[in-house]
Amino acid sequence: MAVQAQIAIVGSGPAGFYTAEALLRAGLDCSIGLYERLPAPYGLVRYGVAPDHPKLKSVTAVFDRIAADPRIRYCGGVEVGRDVTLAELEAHHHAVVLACGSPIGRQLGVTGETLDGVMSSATFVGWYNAHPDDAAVQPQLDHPTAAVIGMGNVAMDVCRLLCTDVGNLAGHDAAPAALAALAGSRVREVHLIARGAPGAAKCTVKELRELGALPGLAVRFAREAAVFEAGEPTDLVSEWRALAARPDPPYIERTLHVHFYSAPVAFEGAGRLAALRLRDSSGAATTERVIQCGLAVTCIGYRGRPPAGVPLDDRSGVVPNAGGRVRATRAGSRAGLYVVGWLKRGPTGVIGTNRADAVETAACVMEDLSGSAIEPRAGSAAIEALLRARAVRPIDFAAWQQLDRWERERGLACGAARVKVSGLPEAYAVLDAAASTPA
Amino acid sequence: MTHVVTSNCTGCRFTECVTVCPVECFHGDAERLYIDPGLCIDCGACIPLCPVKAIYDLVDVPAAQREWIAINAERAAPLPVMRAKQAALPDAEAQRVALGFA
Repeated sequence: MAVQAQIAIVGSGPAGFYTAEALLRAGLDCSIGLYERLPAPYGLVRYGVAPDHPKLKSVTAVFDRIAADPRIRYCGGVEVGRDVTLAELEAHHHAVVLACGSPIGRQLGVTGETLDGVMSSATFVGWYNAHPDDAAVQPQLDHPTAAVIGMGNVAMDVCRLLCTDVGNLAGHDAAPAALAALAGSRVREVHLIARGAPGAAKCTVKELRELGALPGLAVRFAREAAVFEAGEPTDLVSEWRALAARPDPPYIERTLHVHFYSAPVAFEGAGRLAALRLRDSSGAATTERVIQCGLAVTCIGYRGRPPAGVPLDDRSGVVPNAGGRVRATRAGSRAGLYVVGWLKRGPTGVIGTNRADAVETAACVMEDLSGSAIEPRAGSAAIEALLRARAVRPIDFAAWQQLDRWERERGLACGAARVKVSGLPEAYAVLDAAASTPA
Repeated sequence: MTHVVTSNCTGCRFTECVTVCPVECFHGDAERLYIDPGLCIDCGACIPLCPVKAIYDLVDVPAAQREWIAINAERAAPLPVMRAKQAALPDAEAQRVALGFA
């Protein structure tokens, strides 16, 4: 009888789920342990996608369908590196696929970046999306001016959240504390700052259009000529031009100031952010500009944080790999170790990009496993035995679905789609309470 | 809302789009692809991958192509799902050039 392949996938965001799906669809006789450190699955679909984009989040129905396959053992609340080591996963599986994303906000590397009031998008987005790691975050919304640095879709999301009426966010799944803070926000001027040209912005036309469509939002350009530079405009540049040409709304509630060719030089303030200093990056001017602001959110990308012992390229923030196979280092071969998603290619693309990416990594796994006979390994059964011995309690998919129902019910009470569980302690408390209640 | 595959797909069917659809809402026949509007979540991942710019967000469909909104809705669901890249149709490259996407 052929030996069943034992696969571990670390991380249950889109990349993790699509990798599991690709392996199963490819006809591999396998059993897959899917490990998630948080109390809930879905990764950035749950903790990254903005609360006012509920339709995108409906992709979780696809992940639920994948998770229903009996060959997948889902283990939430289990952190590789804390509850179980990567070496243990490698010892008990034939292949380990790292799908744990890029949770660390990139740093600009300018002075003052650690001032109170300066935070990365990783923190700010985690805050409004009720990520357990960011529960204690309190963005400075008491100053009328905020700065958002970067021009990707995350920067667009952050600007939209700062510029929208909080009523547009309620009713979905934002953190209640964030909704309360945004309801009391004094922010009226948001400066969106990019080093490059309008056409070099990484955001999609769709996100830019959505930002521009906010009621009561006026848009100003620090140097409007930049938007009308010569050359055939791309769809994105046309969108910038439309924003520049449109009339102000009849009643201006907030103003978005867009700065192209502007590079942050320093965050200034005594303990707390008071100003952002910019220099012209086009070479046209040498004078620096200062924006007085109380909050600055840097949305300039993310870096991976793989389990200890896995190499990370310092420049790109990803695990060095070839099509998903982790490259050998001076420390030795990493045969049997794979990477997928943001940790493989960096923080780019949209949810579906991970499907094609996962198919590529899964093909590497398949090829390596079919090359030679494999000896039997215990797979997730061995890992679950280790977890039991360590008093770690995995949240399986049925338990997650119980939490999911609890979150939705809690949402009903306050007119929201759901109120997310705050972290593992609350998740276990909810599951215990449900277990002790007679059906 | 949904996304719509318009006329440029007919005779090309490059199928790059289907590899990044997170919900597998592309269906196809021998000539072209269609999006099931009941499944599409409007993520837009497919738009930049089409070599002949056949896919539009519903709100952006050019006036001359609006008939494709109803055609996608009618034809998609009964046809098989296309989830993996297929070989493009034999005349696809010639048609790409003819459409001005050399």
